[in-house]
Amino acid sequence: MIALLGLFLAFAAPTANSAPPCDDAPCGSLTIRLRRRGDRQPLEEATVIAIPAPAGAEAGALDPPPPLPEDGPAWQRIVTTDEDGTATFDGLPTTGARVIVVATGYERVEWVVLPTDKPLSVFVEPLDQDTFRTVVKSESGPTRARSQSQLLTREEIQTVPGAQGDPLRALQNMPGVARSPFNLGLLVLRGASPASSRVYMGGHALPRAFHVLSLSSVFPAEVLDDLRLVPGNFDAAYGNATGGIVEIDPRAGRRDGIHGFSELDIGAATTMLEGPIGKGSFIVSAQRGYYDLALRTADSITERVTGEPGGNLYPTYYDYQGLLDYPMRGGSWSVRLFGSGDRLRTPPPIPGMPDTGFDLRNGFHRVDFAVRKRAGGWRLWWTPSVRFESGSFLVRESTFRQRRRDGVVSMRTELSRRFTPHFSWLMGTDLEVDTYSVQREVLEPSPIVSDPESPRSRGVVSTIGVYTTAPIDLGPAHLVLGARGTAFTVKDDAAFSFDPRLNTSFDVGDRWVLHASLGKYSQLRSDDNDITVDIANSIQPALWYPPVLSRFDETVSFDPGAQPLSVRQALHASVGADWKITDGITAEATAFGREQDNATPLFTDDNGYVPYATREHTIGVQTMLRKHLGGNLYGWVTYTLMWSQLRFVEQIPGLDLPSRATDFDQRHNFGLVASYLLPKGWRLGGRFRVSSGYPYSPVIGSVNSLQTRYPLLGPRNSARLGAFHQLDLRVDKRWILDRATVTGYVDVQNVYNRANPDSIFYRYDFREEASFVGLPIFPAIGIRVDY
Amino acid sequence: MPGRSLTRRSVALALPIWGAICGAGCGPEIPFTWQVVDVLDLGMNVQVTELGPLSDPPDPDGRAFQEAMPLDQIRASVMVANTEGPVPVEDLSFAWFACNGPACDSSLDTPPCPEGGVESDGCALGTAAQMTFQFADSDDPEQGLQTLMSGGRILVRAIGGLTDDPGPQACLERLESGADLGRCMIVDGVAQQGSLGELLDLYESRGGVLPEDALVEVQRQMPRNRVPLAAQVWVRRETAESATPLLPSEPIGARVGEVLDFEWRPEEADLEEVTVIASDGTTLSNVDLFTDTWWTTQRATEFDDTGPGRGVRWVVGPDTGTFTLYTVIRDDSDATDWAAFTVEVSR
Repeated sequence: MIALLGLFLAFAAPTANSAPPCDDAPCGSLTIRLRRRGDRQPLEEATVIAIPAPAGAEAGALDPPPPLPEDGPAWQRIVTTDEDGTATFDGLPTTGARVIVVATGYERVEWVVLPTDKPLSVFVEPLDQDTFRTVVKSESGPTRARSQSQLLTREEIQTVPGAQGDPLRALQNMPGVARSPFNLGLLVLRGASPASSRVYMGGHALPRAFHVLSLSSVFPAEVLDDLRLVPGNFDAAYGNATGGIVEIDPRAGRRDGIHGFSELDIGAATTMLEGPIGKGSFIVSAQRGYYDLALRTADSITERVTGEPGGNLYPTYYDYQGLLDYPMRGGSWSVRLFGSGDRLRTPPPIPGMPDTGFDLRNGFHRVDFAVRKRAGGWRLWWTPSVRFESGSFLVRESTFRQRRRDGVVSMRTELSRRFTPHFSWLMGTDLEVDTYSVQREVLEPSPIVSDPESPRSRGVVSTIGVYTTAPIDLGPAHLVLGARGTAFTVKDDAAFSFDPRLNTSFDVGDRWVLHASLGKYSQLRSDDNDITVDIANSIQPALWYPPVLSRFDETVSFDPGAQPLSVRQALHASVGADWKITDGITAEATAFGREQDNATPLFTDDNGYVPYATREHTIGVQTMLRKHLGGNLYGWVTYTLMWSQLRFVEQIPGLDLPSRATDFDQRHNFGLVASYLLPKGWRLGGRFRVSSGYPYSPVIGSVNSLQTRYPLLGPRNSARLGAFHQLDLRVDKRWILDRATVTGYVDVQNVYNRANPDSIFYRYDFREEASFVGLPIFPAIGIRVDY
Repeated sequence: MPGRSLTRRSVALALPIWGAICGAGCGPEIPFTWQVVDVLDLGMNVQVTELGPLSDPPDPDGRAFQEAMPLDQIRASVMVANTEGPVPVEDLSFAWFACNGPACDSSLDTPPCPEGGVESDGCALGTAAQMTFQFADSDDPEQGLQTLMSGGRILVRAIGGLTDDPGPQACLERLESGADLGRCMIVDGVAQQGSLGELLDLYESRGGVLPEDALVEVQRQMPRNRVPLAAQVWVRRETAESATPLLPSEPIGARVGEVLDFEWRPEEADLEEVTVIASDGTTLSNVDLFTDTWWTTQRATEFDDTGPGRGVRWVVGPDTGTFTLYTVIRDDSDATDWAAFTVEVSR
């Protein structure tokens, strides 16, 4: 367009840039600030042309613009906008000028303007209607071992159907990640317990990634550019996990003005503000979930209509983030604040009835400091962090309360250098020292309930790691040698692990990459013993969940020092191939295995036997065909096939428990995700998933014992919930205004209302499975304003 | 472990969130807990059928005792309901076990008794539609079940159901292998030796002397506990001023939408007063407490037993036909009886 216009003007105009006849008529100056419509982003290097205004034209937009004079304009001025999107004209006739704005990727606009001292803001419509910004990032150091990783961009997170813009739930569409029941936030990576995987934000692990009841991630998608999922064979820089990891790097705020957004959806309200501050930038954001308000209202209505009090559970949560990034010589520094708070409680007791309720609170507040600096070929990343955590659990009937407070110091230091084009080296250390105190008390002692014998305990839990990574390029072969040593301490106990890791890849031509990885991984075993927990809950009337849901809400471990220290260890192995079909389309397949020693059990019986010593054995293959973001379409097709078995290597003599499926053994998992950007601000997306059901312990019958009927459980995880399949659709409509963008969306889950078996209702006599309970068709609506 | 408990409760209480979303569209219809839709065990009746030589004279009202003296004949039977009415005892077959007593015969396999609070040693009593047994006289341990270590209370367990559907042996095999029990029933009842006062009298009449610090010396209870009579049910229609008694053998008529209030009304004699005489001569009296449970074979629109009294309100409907109303009455000593009534519903 610019070329054509330039050609026309060059042909038609007497000169390429000629002055208007200010000698004959009064003239003035004009400053135009070009902004992109919607987010007010300055348009740099746009061409602004001023020519005589058509005869009789009044000031304002020329829509449609009249044809240009056949013999060319009497004069013309051409100015290119600077980095602020500003173009200044001097000597324009006060009678007006015709201004033409031409910028690549934007609609051509024309005005008749009068010179004025006041800058004129002009908002230009982008042609592709896509207001997401492209940010080019450079690696901050030597490449980590990421041959197994998947990247999700912010746009994909925000628009992928079924995730409601939640970052971590969006990950559940990736290969190697199991489907979570009820669309809750569980990260089951390659068959590993969610407790075996960690989410790192800015190099430090998040104490909890999801809010209470897994309703939402503890941070919004807008504070990051993308997130990276590594379901196995992750880099030596990360420890204390035997499953997988998620890496999140908070982004820097924009410097092109004050921007932000506010969003309301079915579960939460979120707002964010970002902009320049000095030479740096800032982001502040906050989120408040309001399920509790909705449920309180529902209870209130129930009570008015039926006279009976409602019995809902009230989950409350919030989180906040504050990010400050500032450049400095050879690098940058950052200060980041993160916080999250959750409360889960039952309604007040019914007058005259015993109070069987509880009140759970937990939260954290974290301050990170980070420095990235280059000097003499070396790169330094140093990031200390301080975190305060608190948790309390009150049983209202007995007024027994447990409280735990933690002061956590976390620090990561990395020093790296690329010595040759083929060899880099990174050395780092990370530590996490958690000083905890536990208090148990009875708020209102009575003859029945007295104060606990050990009301207080204190201790330190620490993880200190030293790691090194050395990427080596040998022509088409690439090696990432890594090793990690970790010391774990709990009170006076200590354990040490050494975890070597190797990631290799081999380029076959320009389009194929073969990769193989092998590594050892260690994790402090918490007292949350996922081997003995059998969540298969029964609540009247006989509702049962698969044990995988025992992980859907993180437990509060009140006294980590109450049990001896033990360390889980796992061996990850994988081999696969990536195929770059075109520049935007890739395919990949990876076979993986994980052999995990679940460590010495925490509990022994009176005879000194360990009730269970177990190993987990997981093998599988994950595949993905992906159309990456770019153009109007993105999407992918994934399929994961997996077996995850639990083997009993030691148990009470005579018990003879057989191997069985682990709680997280989801055999088949197929997913199809696609999102297409349509004209006029519409985006249409769909997600279709098919997966095996999770294992559970079936109820085989019941005992009618003195008029009380209780169920009899069959062998643990000997049955499997039925297959799951579901279609989700999402429609986004974006209205681009001059200074803001309004986006509304409808995200319809389970479009054809499949009754998916996420849990089981047994008939009251437990003799038949009477019903399955899954989410029915459910439209989620949200609205968002970006400015 | 508080965390685990919390998780369980969280899972349980999270249900309303999803339930509110789910509404009625989450799956097929679930039978009401009062609706008999298949063969259903309602409990176990254990009673003395024949007094032995060590018993006092029979109950003056002709009622059956729950508590049994040594050598009394005790009969245990499972109360099984069906959609067509009570299942005759001859259509049933159970494997019977006595739990938590000293082993009656060490050659028998340990019966599948509950773990935990009740000892698993006991004895297999055999296979039958209903089981008859007796407590041993302490002077002759071979005569029947011993209760020396059980406080005179034996848990009787029956495993089986309809004859050959699948039969007690198949049920035991399924239970052993953890397979689906299908129509197999596992039902517990209580055989109680007593009364304690009579047992002590018998002991002392044979020259026994209780030690002064023995707990049993402190209190002597009598009379013997009787089995409540479940058939004492009255019905009051919404339009009637007073209630009329029901007879199991005589069906009653009702119309769809009609409100029937059924009530179990024990006779004065059923409200047994158990007298406890302490060693210091103090006398305490306790009156039996009863629980009532009701079922119907109709998909009733309302079947509510939360009101006052021992009864149920049945809003008849929506289906017409002949339906059965079951009630099970249990006292606080686990003496249990049941009754069934026929209701013919028309429009």
